[in-house]
Amino acid sequence: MAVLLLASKLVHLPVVSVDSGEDVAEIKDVIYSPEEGRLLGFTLNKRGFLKGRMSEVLPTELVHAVGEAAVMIDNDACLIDPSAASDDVAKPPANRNVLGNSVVTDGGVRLGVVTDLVLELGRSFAVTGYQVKAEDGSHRFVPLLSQLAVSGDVLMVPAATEEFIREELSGFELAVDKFRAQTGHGAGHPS
Amino acid sequence: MWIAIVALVVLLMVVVLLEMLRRRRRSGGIIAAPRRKH
Repeated sequence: MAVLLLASKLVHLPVVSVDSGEDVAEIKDVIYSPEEGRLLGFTLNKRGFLKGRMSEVLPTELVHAVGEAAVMIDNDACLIDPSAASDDVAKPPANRNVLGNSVVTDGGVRLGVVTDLVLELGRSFAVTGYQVKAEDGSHRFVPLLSQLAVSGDVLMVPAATEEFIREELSGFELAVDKFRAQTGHGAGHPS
Repeated sequence: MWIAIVALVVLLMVVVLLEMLRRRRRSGGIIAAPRRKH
């Protein structure tokens, strides 16, 4: 069974080298592809009180494991220079932070505001949906299949998404599977 | 005496400002990669 995790839990987690056992960095940004429905990588902070951003980045292909307490890598060489990484990870556009974005269906219904991203660990870091805060203040989970558009402040999703919104993360995985089965798409293969 | 107090306040303000800048630089986000053109 896959483990669902909120992406915000990864922010500020230490990046630990399996070889040395030392924490070599800290997660800054989580970068994902809404099109492919998967996590792409991380930008990093240096460890320490007065340290700032680290120039190296960490693509998900070089992640050894992700746990509640740390993101594990094989060794320091897994933190690569941005020139060796894909543009999406090397130069993440700052204006595409989805936290606080409105989620709107193509039927014109506003589902809420994004408060987090739901990741599925185990299936190559698939992104399964968003946690949104609805108008009434409640938190809900919205499945991600294919996103019609991501602008600076709005995420557009298909109207069929509404039917599969869940209030608990526990039933969310099943809802995502049903949603994908109904629309005829597997994880990471949007239309 | 007053000069020392003013200097201390200014120093404190600078430290607070630097800490705010540091937190801003270190704060993380969840970023959507741009859509690829097919």
